Amino acid sequence: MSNTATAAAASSDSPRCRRLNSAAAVVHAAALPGPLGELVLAVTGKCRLWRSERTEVACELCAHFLDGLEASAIPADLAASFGDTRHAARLITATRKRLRPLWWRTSRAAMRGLGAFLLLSVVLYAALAARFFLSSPKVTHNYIAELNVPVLQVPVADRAWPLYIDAKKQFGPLPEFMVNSRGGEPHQPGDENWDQMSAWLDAHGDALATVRAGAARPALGFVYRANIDPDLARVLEITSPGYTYDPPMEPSDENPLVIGILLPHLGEMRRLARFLSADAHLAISREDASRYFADLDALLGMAEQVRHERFTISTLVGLAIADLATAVALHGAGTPDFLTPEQLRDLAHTLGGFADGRVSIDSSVELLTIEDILQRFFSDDGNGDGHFVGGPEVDSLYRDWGLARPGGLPLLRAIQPVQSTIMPSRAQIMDQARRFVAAAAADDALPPWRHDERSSDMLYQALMESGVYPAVPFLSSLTGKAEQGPVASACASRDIFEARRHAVMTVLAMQAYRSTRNTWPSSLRELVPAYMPSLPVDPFDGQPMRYIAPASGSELPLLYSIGVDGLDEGGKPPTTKSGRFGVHNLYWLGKFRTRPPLTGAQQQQTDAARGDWVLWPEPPPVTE
Amino acid sequence: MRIERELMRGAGPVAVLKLLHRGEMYGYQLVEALSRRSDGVLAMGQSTLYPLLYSLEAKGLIEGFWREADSGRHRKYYRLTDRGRKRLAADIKQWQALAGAMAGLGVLDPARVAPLPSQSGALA
Repeated sequence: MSNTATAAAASSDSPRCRRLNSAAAVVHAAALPGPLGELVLAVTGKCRLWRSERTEVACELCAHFLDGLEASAIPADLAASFGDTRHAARLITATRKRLRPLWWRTSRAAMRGLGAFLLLSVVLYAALAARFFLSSPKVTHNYIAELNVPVLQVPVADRAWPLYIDAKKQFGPLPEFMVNSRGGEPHQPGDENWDQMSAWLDAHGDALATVRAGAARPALGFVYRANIDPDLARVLEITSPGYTYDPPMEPSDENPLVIGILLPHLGEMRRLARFLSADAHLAISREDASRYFADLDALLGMAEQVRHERFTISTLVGLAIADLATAVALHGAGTPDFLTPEQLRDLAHTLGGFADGRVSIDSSVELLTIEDILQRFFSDDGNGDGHFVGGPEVDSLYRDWGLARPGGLPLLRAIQPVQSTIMPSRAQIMDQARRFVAAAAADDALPPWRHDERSSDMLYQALMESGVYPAVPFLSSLTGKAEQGPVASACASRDIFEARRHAVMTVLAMQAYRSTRNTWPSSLRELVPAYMPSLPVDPFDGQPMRYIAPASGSELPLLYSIGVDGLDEGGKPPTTKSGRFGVHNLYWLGKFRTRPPLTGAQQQQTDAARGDWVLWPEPPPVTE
Repeated sequence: MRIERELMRGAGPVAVLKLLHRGEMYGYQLVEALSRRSDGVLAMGQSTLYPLLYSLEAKGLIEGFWREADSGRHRKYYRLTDRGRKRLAADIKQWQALAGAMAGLGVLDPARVAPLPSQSGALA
């Protein structure tokens, strides 16, 4: 290249070249000898850079070669000493990119990080999916069959349930005044439509006798199944207009989910118990002690039968039926000259003998229920452990229980492999379940005045939330997340029932005392041991129930508990309906004892519940 | 003598930094100086030099700028930054320690190894 050409190129090689819009323009402006210009274009053409960057690289390389030419280097030597263009382009690309603005480098790092994360996620998901879909649950236990073993061991002639179905058939369709009654069927004299109820009861003496015969049998004999009892269904076709029994076309599942079994007998028995209770009140009004005792014994018999089922709900129904019996007993005891002192003692003895003196809340079936769920949702490694897995049964459970919409099942299935990693193992859940059952047993043993120390509900919630709940959300919906959990709530119901039962037994003893001595006792201590074995205990402080003897012979004594506020207010009951309800609500103990900051509504509740829980005689009703 | 790429990768940056420590230089000057001052041992083509310069610039050890030369042409010059100066000082110490160790092993001639930077003022 001549010096003239070099000078011309030099004049064009200025920062202006960077403002040219391409490497080719720069090379053209530099007027480099052919091989060198081609070299610059070859290098910049291979650089994966922005156009402006390639232009600047071209500027610098052109300047370099022009410097070489100025120093009298031969173009061919300059080209030869340059090195491999592909290698140069790769290195220049990599290093020039490091000179790019911070925002670009940051976003590139972020994109790369995101890409790596996505790739890792895909790989991880594939591994989790393999772990999830290649394992399957192994259902080895038929817990329903195990629960039915003792039921089926009872001879058919000793089972009450067939007689209850017969009785339902004998009662036939319920009359209009019962069906349309707003507060349930008439229960005792004074209730709306009581006359019609009395006539109906008189007309169905045979059916009531069948119920009593059933209650006298040693066992309930209800066989657990996932479908409705066919015998009951056939009777329902007769007694319930519009009901049609549609027998399943396919044989029923041989190993249904424990939590899915139907317990229609509980509702039927509650209804039959209400008939018995109404009949007992009718017997009192007619001074028919024999009929009264037959009904009362039958009520307690039914309560025992249903209580012996191991489900918590069965225990609660048993308590409800026994509560009807205590109300009947109280009505009989409070009716002047209806019962003899001997009958009063017998009644107290019968009432006191129910459930061997104290109803126990057995939570062991909860454990069995959870085991049954886990065997369908978790793999089994043979050592009691395993992880949450999928499978046809899991899918069908989700579908049958309405846990996933048909279209949503694939999505649900897609997230389950991830879900399985965050869930505790089968052994961990079972361990938690056993701790819950142990806590429930401890709760059961606690006296009512320590109700706020009961802890099983918290363990149950933890169990639902940490393991079983994510797998089977319906469990939580069944048990609820309310303030009152399944066990502590049952314990509270039991405690209030027991308080009522002991109050009624005390009233029976007071009446027996009065019948023999023609006066009321001046203190409850006078009743022990001749009329009752021990003093009744106030459920709110463990002290004897409060008693105020009448000032004159024409008045009645007062039997009461101090109630949830823990204060003895001389037997003055709350003045509102909500107060009457709240005064024996064990769940409000904490609100009164710890005195945390209460909301306005809570403060209103606790204010309303101030007063005593009057057990006998029943205080006049309140309207608000 | 041609140096293995791995050795060159370690020596190239410090050689460029050292050259720039004497004053600002443009690319062709650096190529020439490297070749001349190392008897051709550290000679590197532009395909190696410019990526090296961009890399040092990205690390903040040198900075490039365009300036009009006496000839009237614009060139891109490079000069050492403060960070580059510190890095050079550290690199020289390491190289001298390495050379001392190699001399101790008989790999290098002890007579040709410079004294420690603290004794000679390596950046002088």
